[in-house]
Amino acid sequence: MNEPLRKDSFYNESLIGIFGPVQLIKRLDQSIHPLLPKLYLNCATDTKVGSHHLNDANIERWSKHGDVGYADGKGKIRIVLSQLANANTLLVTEQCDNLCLFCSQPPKNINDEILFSYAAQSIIAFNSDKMIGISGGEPLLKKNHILNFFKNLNQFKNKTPLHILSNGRAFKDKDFVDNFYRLNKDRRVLVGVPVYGTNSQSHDILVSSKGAWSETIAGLINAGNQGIEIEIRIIPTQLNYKEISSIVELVLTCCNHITRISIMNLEQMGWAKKNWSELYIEPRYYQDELVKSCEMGKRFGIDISLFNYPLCHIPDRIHKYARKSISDWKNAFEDKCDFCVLKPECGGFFTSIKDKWINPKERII
Amino acid sequence: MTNYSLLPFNFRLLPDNEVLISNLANMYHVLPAKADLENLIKDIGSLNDDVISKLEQKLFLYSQDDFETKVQLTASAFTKRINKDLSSPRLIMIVPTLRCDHHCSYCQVSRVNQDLSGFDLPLSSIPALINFIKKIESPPYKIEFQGGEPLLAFEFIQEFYNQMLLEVERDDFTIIIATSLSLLNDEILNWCRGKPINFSTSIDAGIKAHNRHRKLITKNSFELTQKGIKAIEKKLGKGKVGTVTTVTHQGLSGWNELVDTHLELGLSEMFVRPVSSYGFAIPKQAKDITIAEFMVFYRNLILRVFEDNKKGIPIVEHFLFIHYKRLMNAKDGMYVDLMAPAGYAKNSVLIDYTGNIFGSDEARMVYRKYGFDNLVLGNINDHNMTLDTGFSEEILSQSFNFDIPGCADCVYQGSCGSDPIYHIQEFGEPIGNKAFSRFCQLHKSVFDFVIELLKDDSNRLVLEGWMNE
Amino acid sequence: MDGAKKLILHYKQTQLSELSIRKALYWMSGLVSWTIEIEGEHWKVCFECDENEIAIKQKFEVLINDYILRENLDSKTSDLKLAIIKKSLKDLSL
Repeated sequence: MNEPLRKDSFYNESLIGIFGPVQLIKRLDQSIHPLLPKLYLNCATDTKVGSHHLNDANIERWSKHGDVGYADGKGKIRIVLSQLANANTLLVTEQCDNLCLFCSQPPKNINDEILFSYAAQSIIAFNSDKMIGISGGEPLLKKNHILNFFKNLNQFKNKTPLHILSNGRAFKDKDFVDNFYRLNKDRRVLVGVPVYGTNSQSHDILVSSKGAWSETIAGLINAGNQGIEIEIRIIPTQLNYKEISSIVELVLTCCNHITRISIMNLEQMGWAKKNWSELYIEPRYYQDELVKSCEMGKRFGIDISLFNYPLCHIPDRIHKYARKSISDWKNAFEDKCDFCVLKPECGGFFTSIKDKWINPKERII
Repeated sequence: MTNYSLLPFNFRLLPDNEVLISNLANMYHVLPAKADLENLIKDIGSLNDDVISKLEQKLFLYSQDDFETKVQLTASAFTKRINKDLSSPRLIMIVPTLRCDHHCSYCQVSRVNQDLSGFDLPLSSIPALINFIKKIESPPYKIEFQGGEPLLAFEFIQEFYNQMLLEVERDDFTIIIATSLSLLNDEILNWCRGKPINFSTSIDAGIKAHNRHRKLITKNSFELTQKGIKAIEKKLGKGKVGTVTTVTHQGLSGWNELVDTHLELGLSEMFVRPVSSYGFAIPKQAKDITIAEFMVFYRNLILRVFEDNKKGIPIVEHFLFIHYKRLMNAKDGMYVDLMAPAGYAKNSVLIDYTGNIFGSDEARMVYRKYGFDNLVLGNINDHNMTLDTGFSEEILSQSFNFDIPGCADCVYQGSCGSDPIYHIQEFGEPIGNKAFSRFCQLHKSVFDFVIELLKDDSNRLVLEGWMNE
Repeated sequence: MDGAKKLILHYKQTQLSELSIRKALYWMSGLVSWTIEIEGEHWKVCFECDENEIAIKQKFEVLINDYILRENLDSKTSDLKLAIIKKSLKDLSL
């Protein structure tokens, strides 16, 4: 039942020994970027060095010509950039200077600089004009890494729009903000920054880092003043559910260049699982805050959206602000949902949530 | 137990012992009792936890840990608001003719009879005019034709439109014609069809008042306006004409009639303000209502408008609405009269029938009456012209309102504006004595009224409904 | 003016500063003419009222109270206010 909508990981013995990003090819195509090694799937090929052939119906079914996957050398391949995906996101580091209580990608202190190279190569080869997500860890943690990443993309004149998820603390440094802005003049970059409180108390506890709120806010102000496009992300939890609309009002009154706000229902992933009972609060306990927040959109002239809120969990009047989940591989529905007339518009649940409460809006017979 | 300290704020006592407070970030909060104000100033710890929490969220209090960041947030909000006012695009007003077929008792522009010559902008000035517009502004251009009666210079408007189209994308400019509509005919309407042209006209409170003020030889000014509005809807569609209502002594009991008139004409928007004293408006008439008298009319008007809204009849009164938007720091909160630093020259510019350039409509009127040369910023016929902004800069630097007497302590400072030209006329200098200022009294009263309306949930919903339209 | 009543009020100079009392008087100007002088250790304010002596006194007392409160408030926040405004003006994109 809890099946995600798109499969992205595969195993094939023939892939043993192949390591790093490869591009999936299904037909002869001169326009494909020469940068990455090619993986030819069941098709006539040339015999260039660095090209591999593969006969795998599963991978073929779940990929399109030009998609990019990371092979781990042991036979596994994960398709990281696919034209079949709702949204593509690349992990560029697992290191972070926050330790969010609900972290979905708990940090590891390892040298994973290579992920930046993989990401740059993949984006260049994939050559899409649809936005690609950049996440971690904290992508801006090592400033020279991220700046080099942009330089690499610029070298190959890549203009793929990027959506970078960051805690924003690196933007406290004005020189860095300047460089960041300069290197992205020809590319649309949206930085998604979480703000969990109107003061340091709730925010610093939630990200387990004293001083985080202050640095994030200072970063938001600097980045906004420079003209960097910003998305503010807010996750309601037991510690901050009463101040959701106040956070929205505060950032929109004080900061520049905020182009959207995303209020996101907590996902039961990573560390959120073990802290679930202290963190999670059902939307019906803060629906007033959600309504107030959504209606600030028109006032301040920006888009405010709700993510990961099944429609039966939020009041009717804010259904129009609810978006389906960002990544398609997380969508799933319970059997009961088949009776619900709103199912086509609803994003469903995360594959990971146990003990869901469902209240389908039934058809009137 | 966190210790909290004060960030700077202003306060104003409201009826019912409540207190309104605001800060440099222009965030507002209503304290339930005067005692809370005293506690806030003298002993924060004695305040209710909920109140402390709310005040902290709105940048009235800070905890030691967050001091620097709260200050940064406040400064950023303050700068943001001023930048918004500074960078708002200018309204470009053009007076193609001073001739007029009416002579209205509170006319502010010293009109002349329509058969006179020598009071028109020549067609040959259009290229220079367009060049000037492109030099001082970037698209989208908002252009408004005024007068006199602009429809007496219809040929000029047509030629201007045609030449504008050669220089600028069709989607990059809009034109509003401010007219009594008495001269509207099919030829004009047919020409306007499909073009980015709207109309603005006056509907005064009370037909009798309307016709008494707006003197036409044939005495039926209001009927012609009415006919014009209907013709515009028929030929050009809905939403093509906006109204402005000036309230004088004769109109003070006409609030229901005013709303009814708008609804009958299929109009769902209004803009109502009291008569002002600029330029040539007969002084006696101009000051013939006090702000207090206006507010009695206005309160009744708004209550009627809100009643209609609650019944599902959509009608918006924009004078109130803009005050609400200013209090809410709304994105769409630009109104030339309520800007600090002042909108003068920065957000509006007017080219007279002589080619003279003024920083605002009021400046033109004051110049005609008093002849202050420094109100003329230049002339479009002067090819070597650079705008004389010296005087404008002097006015503007004095029109920040956070440091001037009367405004420095005002709770509405962040939402209100300064009106240097009004004060120059009344007091001889841009700041004026706010204790005597109609401008101050008017806007304070309307802001007070908005705050009062917001106390009631059903009223609050109407305003939020207008915002979320 | 002949026959005009004079309302005379005294305030201890220690109770409120000259600036505050002048600010309060600023707002009275639209209603009534006034004078202010020093009498010993007091401010002596003199209003020329007609029939509205009680209303004038009430209004003025409210203003005085407000400005005393404002003095207290300013003593705690005026430096900060100046610093914030100064910083903001520097950042303005004029």
